[in-house]
Amino acid sequence: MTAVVWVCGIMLGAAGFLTTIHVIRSRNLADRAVGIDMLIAIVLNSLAVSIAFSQDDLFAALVLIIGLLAFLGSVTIARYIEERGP
Amino acid sequence: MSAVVDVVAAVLLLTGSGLALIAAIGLFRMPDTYSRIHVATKPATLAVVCTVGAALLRVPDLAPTSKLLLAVALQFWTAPVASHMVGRAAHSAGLRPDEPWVVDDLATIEGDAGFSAGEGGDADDR
Repeated sequence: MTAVVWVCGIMLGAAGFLTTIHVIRSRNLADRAVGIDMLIAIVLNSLAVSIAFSQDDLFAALVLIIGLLAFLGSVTIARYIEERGP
Repeated sequence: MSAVVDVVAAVLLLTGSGLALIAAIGLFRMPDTYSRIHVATKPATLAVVCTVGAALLRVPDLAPTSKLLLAVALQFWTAPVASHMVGRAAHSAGLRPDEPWVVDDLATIEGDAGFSAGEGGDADDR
């Protein structure tokens, strides 16, 4: 299980790195909103991998809360894009 | 029994992480914002289901199960809504894809003069 978690961590780290580069390099606000949404999804995946590795329910509530905050953030940015432009 | 559960959990973990990596590569491969919205929804739903399912298989207690199941259900409800809101806001703000639309229903709903692309769809009912 340790080797599997290492491989998962490397893949998720690479995904987070690529998404961060995309957020920095993107040209409009909608692209950044999509990238930040995906960064939060990667964080959720990392938390779930951490729960599966440690067999501890310390982060279970965190998955719930971060998922809801991701929804609120995306909707807020969407309203902002509608008013201001991309 | 425990070894089987561990193997299934490992496969689910690798599937979820691989989906996240593929989606991150897809952010660079896709040409415009709407395709990227389509890409970014995959790790928010399918990969989260895979990794949280592995966590559910591995955690022995029953107490965190309800929290994790509620997290998955809320993710399934909220992630498509958030993607839809971002896409609609991008359309309403005037963002256009690289290739022209095939069908643009939002333009007729919004009724804005700046959004009319010309032809009103391809109605070829033979």
